[in-house]
This record gives sequence, structure tokens and C-alpha cells, in this order.
Amino acid sequence: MLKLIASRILAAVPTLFGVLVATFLIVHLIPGDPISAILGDEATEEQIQTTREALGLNDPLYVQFANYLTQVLQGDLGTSISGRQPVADQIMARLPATISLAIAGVIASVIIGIPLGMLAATRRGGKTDFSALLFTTVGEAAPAFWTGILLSTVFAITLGWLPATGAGTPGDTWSVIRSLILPATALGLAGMALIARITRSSMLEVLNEDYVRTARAKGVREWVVITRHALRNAAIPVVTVIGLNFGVLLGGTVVMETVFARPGIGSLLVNAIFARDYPVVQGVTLVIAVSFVLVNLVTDIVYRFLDPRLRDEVTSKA
Amino acid sequence: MNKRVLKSRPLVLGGFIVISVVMVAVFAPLIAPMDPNSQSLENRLSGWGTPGYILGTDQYGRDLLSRLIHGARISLLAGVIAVAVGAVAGLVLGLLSGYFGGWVDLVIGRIFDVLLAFPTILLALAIVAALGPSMTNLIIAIGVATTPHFGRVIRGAILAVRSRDYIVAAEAFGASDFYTMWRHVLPNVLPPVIVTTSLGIGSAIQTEATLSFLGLGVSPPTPTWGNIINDGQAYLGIAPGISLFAGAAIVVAVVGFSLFGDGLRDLLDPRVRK
Repeated sequence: MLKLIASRILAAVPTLFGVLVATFLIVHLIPGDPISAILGDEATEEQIQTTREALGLNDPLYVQFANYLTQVLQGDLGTSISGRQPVADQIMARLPATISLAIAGVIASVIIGIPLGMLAATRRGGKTDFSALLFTTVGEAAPAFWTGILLSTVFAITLGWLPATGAGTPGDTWSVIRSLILPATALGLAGMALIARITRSSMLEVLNEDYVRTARAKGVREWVVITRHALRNAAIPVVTVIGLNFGVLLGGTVVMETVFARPGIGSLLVNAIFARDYPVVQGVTLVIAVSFVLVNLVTDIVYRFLDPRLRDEVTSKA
Repeated sequence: MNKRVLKSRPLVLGGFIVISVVMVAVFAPLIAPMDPNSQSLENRLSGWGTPGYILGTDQYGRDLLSRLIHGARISLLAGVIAVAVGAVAGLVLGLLSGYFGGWVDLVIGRIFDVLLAFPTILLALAIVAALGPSMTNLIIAIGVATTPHFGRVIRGAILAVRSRDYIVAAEAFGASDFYTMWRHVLPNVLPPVIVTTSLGIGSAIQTEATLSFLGLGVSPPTPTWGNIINDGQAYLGIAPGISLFAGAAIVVAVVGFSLFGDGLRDLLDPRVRK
């Protein structure tokens, strides 16, 4: 198992290195002189020099990259141009709001997706199955930010049940949870389609297995057959999709934080793009991409661990 | 084949939606009841059903239906061109990667891995952040974000046909690499490309809408479905129709492309067909 984990981590190293190169290149992709693009034409010579120094643009490209790499590995993501604060500090202060939203989004997608998939599988070919298909297709097609706006219009603006903006009062758990419900549901509705579809197809496969037939023949109640015998065995691919969804929802938080004015790293990124604050853009992009790679890595390992066939395959190869 | 096409409900329904959306986009100036940018401040924020404005008006009194019809043009154009960019780039890289293998495959595979390490919307945002918000840069951003998805599909399809007898025979007859790829490999990997294109246009429409909603895509007053939703966000309490109808237009178009893509996959993939 340790060998498996080590091999997967080693395989992720070149990708992480590539992610560093890509985020480093963001500033160098700016057409023309990045400094005048950032500061505009009316900047003073002093401002130009300070910004050039802050972005490390005075050195040759390979030196700049080596410096960037060294800094990042030490946890230094540079200094924000507009806020003059360390980017890492800004990200760390806002990260909990983003992670809690992504986790809440995954929970919502599971709460909606798994029962929907189970229902569709047990009523295969019927009206319920078709309705579930329709619901997931529309849920997947609707942009998450639009679903967020609709939920906000109904439950925050019209009914006044839940807050339309913010991340709740720090320290007040109930207020934090209330502020999460609408954005997490919008993210969950976007993410549930894949979970429901995989749960349905995976359940359909196991519902035909002998052990399910045996359980039914023994007179076990249908509910127990479905939850204890079928769902447990259908869970492996579903777990993988949930893991992959987490990474995607992490990307989805960027726009959702803007819709609900939540102070996370997604809204930090969008504001930084408008302010042309490139160190912040680089820092946030790097953090989200690295988290995405790491979540996929953990999902891959968990998947192989959960499925004895894959585990044996790796062990026998090793 | 024709019977199978007509029997496939997703293909027929998806095809009907796709053709309708394309027709609306192409004939927008003829269909739209008004100029999408003509303002009538005395009629601002009228609700749906107002005489002369079936779907109501926005904050400048512009006719919402006309803006949605013209918005279809931009949203669809951005989606189609962006996916075409991604498809061509992915096709070339995927062909090279799958056909030549070895270090070419390794290098291209790593590039794809890195691009796939970014959630699509994040990659598009990073590119727009560097290049600046505009329609062209938005298309480049979505195109780059789409490239690895096409590349992976094409590479996989090529690996499946690479060792087939007809390829080996062409090579044995002295056909050049380019000729073999063009005449023998490409036609056999086209079905998955067509399916990915249809599904990709739906995602591209969503990404375009997201970037325009954030104010990083096509700038106002040019209407796109994304920036119409953005316009309506400030008036949800008094004129929810603005954001509601624009979002519904996106849902209908994306559902159309995804049903059409699913239907095509069923039709073109012999394994699914069985």
C-alpha cells in the first residue's frame, strides 16, 4: 500500500511542477509591457520600479523562475500590489470560507445525487427514472451561478429565510451554516448530476448480482437489500466521482463567492483580476490548482484502496 | 441508419433544440422584434407580458426578448469558435501523441496533465486575467481549456486503431506518416471527436456565460446570455425575469447540445449500440 501511495505521489510531481510553470507564466503572457498594463500610462518612475521589483521582472526569465520556485516552496507567494500584504496571508485568511463552501457543496451533491440515483435505479424505465434523468440533465445544464441567483431570489430576497450575502458571523456556528445553505445547494445541484448517474448505473449492475437475489429470496426487506447489500457494493465508483467533484466544486466556488459576496479565495481572485494584482492572481490560481491535483491524488489512492481488485493488481505488480 | 436516427429520442430532441437555437442566432436581426440596444427609459424594468415587450425590459428599457435573441448569436458563436479552436488544437496534438508515441506522447501527455490540473473555469479566468477581457481572449481561454479534453479522447481513439491491419498495411506499402494519419487514422477517430464537439459546445456556452457574468467576457452593451444575467442581478426583487429568462436560454441550449451529443454517441459508438 505504501508503494502504491509513493508511486501515485511521484506521478503527481511533474504535474505539480507544470502547474508552477503555468502560474509563473501568467505575468509573462500579458501582451506588451506587464508593468504598464498593471499601472496604466500615468504611473511614476518610482511606482514602475517598485512594481517591477515586486514582480521580480528585472532578472532573466530562468532566474525569475528559480526565484519563484524557491519562494513558493518556502510558502512565500509574493506581496499583493494593491493591498501591500503577503499574498499567502491573504489566502490563508480567506481559505476556510472557500474550503467550507466546497465541502458543503460536496455534501449537498451527495445528499441530492445518491438518493436520486438509487430511486432511478430501483424504478428503472418508469416515470420516476425519467423524472430523475430530466432533473439531472437540467441541473447539469444550468450554470451554478444562475441557480445560485434563483435560490437567492426565492429564499433570501422573497421569503427572507436565509442570508443573501456574506459568510456569517465568525464564531457563530448557526449563522455560518445558514450562510452556507444557498451557495452550497447551488453548487450541489450542479455537481449532483454525475453522482446520480453513476449511482444509478452502478446500482443497476449490482442489483442483478446473485447476492442481491439471494438476500431477496431469504426474505430480507427491500429497503435493507438496497441500502446494505446493493448500495455498499455500488459505492466504489460513486466515491471516485465524489472525489473528482470536490475538485470541480473548488473551481465552482470562484463564481459562487462572487454571487453571494462571500469573502473566500474565489472572490479574492476575481477582485484581483479587476485590480490587475498579478501576485494575488498567481497565488490563488496556484493554490486552487495544487488543491485540485492533491484531491485527485487522494481520490485515486482511496479508489484503489477501496477496490480489492485494483489493490491486488498493484500489490502483485509490486 | 435513418431509422436509427429517428428512433433515438435524445438525438431527435437535442437536434431539434440545436437547430432551433442556431436558426435563432443566424436570423436574429430578422426575428428580434426590436433593436437590442435601443433604450426606452420610460418603460424600464417592465415585467413580462407588458404590451410591446413580451418578456419585459431591462434597466435601460431595452427589450429583453430582442437582447436574448441577439445574445444567442454571441453565446453560440463564442461557444462554437472556442470549441473549434480546442478541437483543432486537440486533434493535432492528440494525433501526434497517439500516432508517434514515445517522447512526443510523453511531452504532449504532460502538457495535457498540467492543463487538466486546472478546473476549466480557473484556467479560463487565469488566461483572461493575463490577456485582458475581450471576446477574442475569451475564445482563446475556452479553446485552451478545451484542448486537453479533445486531445485525450483523440489519443485514446488512435491508440485503439494504431495497430489495426489497415494501418500496418498502409505503412508496409510505404505510405508517409502524414498520408497514413490523414487518410486512415483521422476518419476512424472522427466519431468521438464529433461527440466531444457537441458536448463541448454546451460546456463552452456555460463557461462563456460565467466569464461574461463576472464581467470578464464580452463587454456591455453587446448582449450575451451571461452579461444579461449579470445586468438582472441588481434588480432581482423588482424584475426577476431578466436573469430568469437569460438563464433559461442557457439551460435550453446546453440541454440541446448535451442530448444531441449523447444521442450521437449512442449512434456512432458500436459498443453502446449493442
